[in-house]
Amino acid sequence: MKTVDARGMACPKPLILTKKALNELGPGGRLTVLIDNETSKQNVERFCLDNGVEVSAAAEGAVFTLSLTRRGAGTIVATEQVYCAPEAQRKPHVIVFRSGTMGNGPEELGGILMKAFVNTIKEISPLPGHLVFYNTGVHLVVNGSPLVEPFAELEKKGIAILACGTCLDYFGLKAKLAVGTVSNMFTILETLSAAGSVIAP
Amino acid sequence: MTKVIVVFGSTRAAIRAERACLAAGLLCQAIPMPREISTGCGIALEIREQDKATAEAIMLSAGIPDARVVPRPAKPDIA
Repeated sequence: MKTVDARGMACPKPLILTKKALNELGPGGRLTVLIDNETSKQNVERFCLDNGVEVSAAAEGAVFTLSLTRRGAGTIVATEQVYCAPEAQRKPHVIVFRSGTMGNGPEELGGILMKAFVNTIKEISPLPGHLVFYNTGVHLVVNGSPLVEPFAELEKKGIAILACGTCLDYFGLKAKLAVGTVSNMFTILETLSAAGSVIAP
Repeated sequence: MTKVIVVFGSTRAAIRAERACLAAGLLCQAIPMPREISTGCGIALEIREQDKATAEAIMLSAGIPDARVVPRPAKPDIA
């Protein structure tokens, strides 16, 4: 298997070499990339995710070994520089909670999936910029919700929590908001419009 | 506080177990099955280590004999 040794290199060089090597592979082709800094590792991972390349990473000391498997065909044309922008310069993503469950289906399944989802937000880097709650999603942030505590923890980390005021009012829950602030359509739409991406569990 | 996790043979068992723990007033949090334990999809419950025996008793009386309590794999440091 081909190996790209990008140790000692800073972005965009590891990406340039990785892209070149990937473009020489057909679908199913595999490639190993060695990297010795976290930033380049994350950038290569994002590049892969966006370009039909499966990636798994293992760390040994200061060196990351990325195992890449190409799924798509054709030439990858993505620009390396896009993936070199520091995390701080990228627009944070926003998570919208449109209901109290993750996905549609049995309440008990969607409910426990939502709990596992929310309890995991803090572990995934980068963190979202905002959490937005509307329709039945507002039930997640009112008194009695089992998720008030993890949401409060996220708010302490600087993540803004916006709950749709119209929705709280509809359900008679305005006085019961336990975490976050009451928001309106303008702020919610501005927040979604400015998001780097939007995640809707 | 040291946490341990309870893993299950099925999603339905995990859902029943969570309900039983909450009903018994045990602190428990639904979390995704850590990658280090299983590559498959799954739900686990995170509990305090000191509640291990109580949790095991709850699992037995709830009829979930295949629940297993295992150590929480070390979390990678998150910036």
